[in-house]
Amino acid sequence: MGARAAGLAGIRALFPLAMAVFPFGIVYGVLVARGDFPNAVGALASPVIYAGAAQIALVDLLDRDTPIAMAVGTALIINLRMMMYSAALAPAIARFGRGWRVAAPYAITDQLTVVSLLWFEKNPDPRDRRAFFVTGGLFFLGVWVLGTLIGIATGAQVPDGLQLGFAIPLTFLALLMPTLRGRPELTAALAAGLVVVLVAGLPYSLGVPVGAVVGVLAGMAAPR
Amino acid sequence: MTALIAVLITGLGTYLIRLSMVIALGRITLSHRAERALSLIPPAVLAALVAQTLVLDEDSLRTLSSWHPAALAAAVVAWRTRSIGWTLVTGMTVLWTIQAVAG
Repeated sequence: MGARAAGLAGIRALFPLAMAVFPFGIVYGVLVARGDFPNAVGALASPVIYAGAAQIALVDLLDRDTPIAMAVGTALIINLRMMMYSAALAPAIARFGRGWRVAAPYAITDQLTVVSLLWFEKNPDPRDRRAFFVTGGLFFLGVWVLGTLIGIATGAQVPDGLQLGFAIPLTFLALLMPTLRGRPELTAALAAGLVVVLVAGLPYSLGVPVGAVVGVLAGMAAPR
Repeated sequence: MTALIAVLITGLGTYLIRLSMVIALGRITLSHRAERALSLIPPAVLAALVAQTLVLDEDSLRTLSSWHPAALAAAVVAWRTRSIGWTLVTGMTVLWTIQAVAG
């Protein structure tokens, strides 16, 4: 297919998700601008951490004088699910080539993982896959950073009437649905969701990684 | 200074989390069973995230609201179209419509 076409396919696949994440960059930026957190460091966090929920938790906790170890620990636990994405993507990324194998995982997000795994099913060539993943990932990163900068610079709150809070679960739902292809996947999803609800109240957002692990095990046990 | 250190440590830690399994699994030829387990990760993680954000609100069950019919409509569109873009558009449009009508 060629790297150029694959790269464009990556941007096209990430585009609607980037439109959904952009206002969150603004929401995060406003959180930084309004609190005690230094604006420059808040802006730096977007490319350095590159994970919205963890960034919001970190800034919020430090603004409320939480000890640094606890704030960092909470942010890292929120990002623990990326270890599972790392595993799911490992067979593909391992064939990206020497330096790329170490650099590419930086771009892992919920959105890029699902969109890439779906695209990889029909596109086995490692070079095409790399172009899709890296180009799509950089595009998504750019949109996230841009949203952050606009939020910090303007401090302009996004109107409540837009109900942006809903875009987060909606994004997860939009990513979930195409992965539900058979009974094992459906079982994994139902078990994971159920466990998260049952263990609600576990500290530091531990419910998500716990639910996900139980979900995978349940899916393995399900008949195909 | 605390903020900068916190961001750098969180960034480094997050990168190592992202890199971890690529390094650990990259060179191994995976069994069929292991590949199946990997393929179940996205539905499991995403369903966990949906439950966390749509069914729960912090630690307790989320009150039923205009979110839920909007999510249901989005799920139906996702099922029929398999399009992430249309799913997002449907969810937000239905939500805004409900709010406009319900005032």
